[in-house]
Amino acid sequence: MTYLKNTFLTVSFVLLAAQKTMALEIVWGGYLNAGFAVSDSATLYRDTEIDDRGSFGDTIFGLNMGADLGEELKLAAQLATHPGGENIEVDWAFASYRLSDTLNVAVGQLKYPGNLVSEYVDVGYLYPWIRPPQGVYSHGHSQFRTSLTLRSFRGVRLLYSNLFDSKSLGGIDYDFQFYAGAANENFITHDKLLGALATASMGQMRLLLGYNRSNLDVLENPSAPMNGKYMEMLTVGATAEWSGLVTYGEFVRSETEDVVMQDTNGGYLTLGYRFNKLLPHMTYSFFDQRSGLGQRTWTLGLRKELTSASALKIEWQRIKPKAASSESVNEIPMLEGLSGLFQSVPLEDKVDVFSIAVSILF
Amino acid sequence: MNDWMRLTILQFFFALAIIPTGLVNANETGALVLVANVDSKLGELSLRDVRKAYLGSRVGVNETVLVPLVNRIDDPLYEIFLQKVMFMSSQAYQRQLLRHFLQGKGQRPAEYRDKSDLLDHLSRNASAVTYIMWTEELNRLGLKVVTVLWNGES
Repeated sequence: MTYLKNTFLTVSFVLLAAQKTMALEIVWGGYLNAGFAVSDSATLYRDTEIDDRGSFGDTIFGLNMGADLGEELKLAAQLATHPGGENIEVDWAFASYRLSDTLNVAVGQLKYPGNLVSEYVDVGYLYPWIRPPQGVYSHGHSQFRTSLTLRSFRGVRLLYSNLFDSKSLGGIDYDFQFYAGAANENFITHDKLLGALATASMGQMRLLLGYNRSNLDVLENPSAPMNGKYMEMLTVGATAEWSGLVTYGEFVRSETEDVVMQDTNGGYLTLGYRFNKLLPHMTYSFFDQRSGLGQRTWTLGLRKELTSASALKIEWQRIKPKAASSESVNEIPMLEGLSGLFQSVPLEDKVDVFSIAVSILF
Repeated sequence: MNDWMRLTILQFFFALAIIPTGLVNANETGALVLVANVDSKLGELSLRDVRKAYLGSRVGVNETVLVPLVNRIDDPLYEIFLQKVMFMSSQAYQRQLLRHFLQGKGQRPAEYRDKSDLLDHLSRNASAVTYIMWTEELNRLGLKVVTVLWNGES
């Protein structure tokens, strides 16, 4: 982490020095999510550590900057905290070079693009929920729970983007991304990461199809069955806003070589309707692992725009976690004591979570 | 769910209901224009170029690169610009900007919340443009209209 902080500080220093000498324009931005959540269970839920004593784990902050260095070269970096985390980390820091009007290459630490909202997963102002649906957007809460998303990766990305002008449909922005590198999640490293992504956007509608393959290594557990095995993820997602109706839907399938117990399906569907500054919404989210581990979540939420860059959100969630089957536990002891995204098996069959947050973009 | 949680939820819904809603009524406003420094050589721009520039893409005009400045001096003006020119909500606009930024496809336009800072940037950079509705102040502020973005009718 010290290396990453030093990287960010070095980038900041270079940019500030360049700003003095080259009249370089640096654009700063950032976000703040200030949140509180409480559940009716004593068992800790996910990495924001929500339980019946309440938690401010959804409170996070990010500061980013970008600079155009001329000659088609751009530099960008973000320093941020993550949900439940106390450390400030470099979320992304990369240089990008425009090869042509349609082709772009970037190197460094890049934000993971493979899911519908993964590029701005912590920027609460940009989506309806307080935290994105956990059926997909959970980040390795245990050694055996596969992530269906990643935060960022170190490597290289090639992007082709273009605009298709259709007389009947209007302009359709589409892009193809190919990336390679390595990622570090909470408990698992992903080496030999390779991915491809296709997206199409038209007005306020966006479609996404992604594929990701990486070699897994569980930190601090050399006997984990997935060590050295390949994991593949396939993602399909869509979001649209039309005449006030807001929809999000995403499905992710993950398979791990020779560890079928870890094969996981996750997804969600969100429907909302925008009444001027108010957006009531409802989400059904799930994840199911072959081991039996899983979770079903219903979320009812209300978002209110406070200003053109801030929103107040409240949510109620009902979570039904499932523990791994006894056969799975016999086969893989690491599964013992896990249930849904809880730290251990809750006493309750269903857990209610109430959350409130203010999200600001600046 | 225990009683105090229910009570807390009700209190938050009540608080939400009494927070005033500041709706933008575009019909009560004048024309929205894109302006530049009076000495600028910028000619009329197409709405497509204006949209591209405000989404962070590089737009070349008369051998210079357009520098779009986001006028955030007051929220209603910003929202009218998003509704009438960008055809998207603030969230959708910020999402697209962030995605373009992360993809290295574009630089986010600089935002100004202080009028004197915005005017200062416009006076120093002949390629810089912004949108305003204070058309009666153009001469005094040393600005000229580059493009009429919206004529004030819905």
